[in-house]
Amino acid sequence: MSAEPETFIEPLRAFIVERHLDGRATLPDDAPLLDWGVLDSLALADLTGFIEERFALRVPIEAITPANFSNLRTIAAMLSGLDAASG
Amino acid sequence: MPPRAPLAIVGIGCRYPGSHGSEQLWETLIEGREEIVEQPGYRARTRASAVASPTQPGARRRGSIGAVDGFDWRAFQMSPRESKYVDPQQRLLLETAWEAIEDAGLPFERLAGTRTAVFVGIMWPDYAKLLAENPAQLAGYATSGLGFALAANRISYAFDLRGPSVSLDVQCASSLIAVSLAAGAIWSGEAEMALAGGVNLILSADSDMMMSRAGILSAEGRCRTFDADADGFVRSEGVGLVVLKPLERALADGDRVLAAIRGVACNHDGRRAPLTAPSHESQVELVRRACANAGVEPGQLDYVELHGTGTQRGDPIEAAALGEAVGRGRSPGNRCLVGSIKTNIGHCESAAGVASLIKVALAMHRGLIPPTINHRERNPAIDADALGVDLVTAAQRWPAPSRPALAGVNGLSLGGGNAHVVLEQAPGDPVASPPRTAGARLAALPVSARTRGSLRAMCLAYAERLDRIGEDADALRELCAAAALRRTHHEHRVAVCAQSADALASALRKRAAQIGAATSALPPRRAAPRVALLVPASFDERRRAALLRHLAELGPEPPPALIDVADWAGAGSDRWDALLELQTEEACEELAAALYGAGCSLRWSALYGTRCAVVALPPYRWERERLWIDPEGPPADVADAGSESQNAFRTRSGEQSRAEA
Repeated sequence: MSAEPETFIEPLRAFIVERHLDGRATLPDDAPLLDWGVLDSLALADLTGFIEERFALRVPIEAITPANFSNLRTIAAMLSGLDAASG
Repeated sequence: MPPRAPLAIVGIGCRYPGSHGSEQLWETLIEGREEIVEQPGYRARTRASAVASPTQPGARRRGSIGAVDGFDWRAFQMSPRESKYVDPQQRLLLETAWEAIEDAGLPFERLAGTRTAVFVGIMWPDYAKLLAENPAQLAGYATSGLGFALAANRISYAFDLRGPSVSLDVQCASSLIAVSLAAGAIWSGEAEMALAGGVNLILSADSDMMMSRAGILSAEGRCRTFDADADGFVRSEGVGLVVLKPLERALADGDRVLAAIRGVACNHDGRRAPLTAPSHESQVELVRRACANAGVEPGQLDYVELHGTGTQRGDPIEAAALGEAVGRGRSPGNRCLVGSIKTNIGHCESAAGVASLIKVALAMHRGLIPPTINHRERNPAIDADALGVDLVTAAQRWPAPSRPALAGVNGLSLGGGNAHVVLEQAPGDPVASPPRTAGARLAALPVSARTRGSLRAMCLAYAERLDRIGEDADALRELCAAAALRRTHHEHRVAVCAQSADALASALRKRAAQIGAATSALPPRRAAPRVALLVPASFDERRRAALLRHLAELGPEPPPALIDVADWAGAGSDRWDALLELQTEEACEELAAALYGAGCSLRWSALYGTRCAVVALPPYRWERERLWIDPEGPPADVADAGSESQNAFRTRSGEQSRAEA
């Protein structure tokens, strides 16, 4: 049984809003994280660290693509897929 | 070597003590104001500031550009976290680059992807020092936020400029050398345009202390260039950038040319003088070579803007070198005029040279040389008569109005690096205002911004600008045309359409009041707006044909759907982002305003032609938020902050599970 994408969205949102937006903005599911400079190579390392610790999921290097990290929904969908694969 | 093709200065962005933008800087200069204040105290609380230094001689007064802790992170799409770790000098440069590009009348999309160079002078790492005193607060972003290289690189990134991008430090000659290298990059063909200048912020006290102890700061706190009582300079902050492109192209593009760069030279004193002392011979050679590169005789220069720091030893050496290079063989009535902006705004160090350049460009554009102030009695070590130079102490016209004025700008530095730039007055060829199309009674004015708050402020700024136009129909048309053709169209938009400046201003004020409060949500990617035009049943064939003709001319992107009111019962209105209801046969201008306000891109040339003069439009209104490292704030270490976030989340999810239970 894999976790639904929704399971991931709120924790990711809370993390990004607090850590990268300094609590200054709310983050809709479809806000473009890369366009907004919220996620870049420095922030990605930070975010994947959080994902590993919080969800016990390792994001493989080939999954770190602009499409997967485009917004909260795409990240959650990717994590849901990883979760299913890890069984 | 034949002289190179002149380069046009087509735009200026600047903040210097007492002014924001070149128009305000000109007021400071032409009114002969001194913009030096009692030191407002250090912005940052640092350990150094505890032992510093209003008591240090010369550190009591300075030129300040006010608050620098705020940044409009949404306009630049830089996350608040990253913004905090970015040296405020980089952030100021970003804003100033934006303002310079706007001042040049260049929409961002016309610049993006071009081989435009960025050369920036910068010398003090004060924000890095502040952070280093609080190592617990360092974050990965400081790697890119504090490096000098990023001062230029961040501008290139923000505006997608693909020419060479270089930050450089030659201390007080930095920004003039930046201009010289930028000119060289265009002349070599490496760049097609350039942004060049420098920045200087004073955020910690140690640099004051060093310079005070070096004995180069004015104890009086006043810069008195060439004066008998000169006792050193006053430290100042500032940022200045100019936009350069080949003169020929600028004229072809219908740009406003403030002045033209004819030639440049850079050199170093070598071992001719002690490391930190100026060399007479090197300065003479510098000026001669800049003139030779420009294809002019040094004796032809009407004016030289001095480095002119106001020191007892430096001023006479600079005066003597200039006298030898440019003053020889002049008749008494034809002396080389000289002056120094440092008497007005102090010494902006790595942003000083470009301030001098901007002063001369403005003086050429406006046909007046501003006065050098704080002068009572000439330094006896400067024999101005023998040298053939004359300090300008009252505003005056250029001496030879029958030909374009020629001037030099001198920039020297403590380490012996020097630069000289030769400027020529631009050919007076203002673009004629756009032809008034027959029967055009209406003017459509588009206004846009990156956020709602800025949009509201821009609407009010345009309204104020319109108030000053009054009944002048040509000025009104020029303003609207420039706003349509010479400005970037950002995602938040308002357009108004009316017959007079008055009516446009009140329409803008009304619209500004209707703009909703900013939401805190980071907006989703802007999809193309879905716009529908509701066509009244009363529209006959002729009206319908007129509507289609207007739409074909304006070419709205995306094209709106046309819906006959008769076929539409109000169902499915949520399919549209904007439903525009045509009342009567709308004029093309009214249609343009409605479609623009709905988010469509338009071919504004349908209304205003393609050639459009650059006129002064309101500069962008920033929506800054304080983004600053608080020395006593929580640590920012990645692991620590990460676990903090997670704890915060766990608490929240814990509450949630309790609620669910």
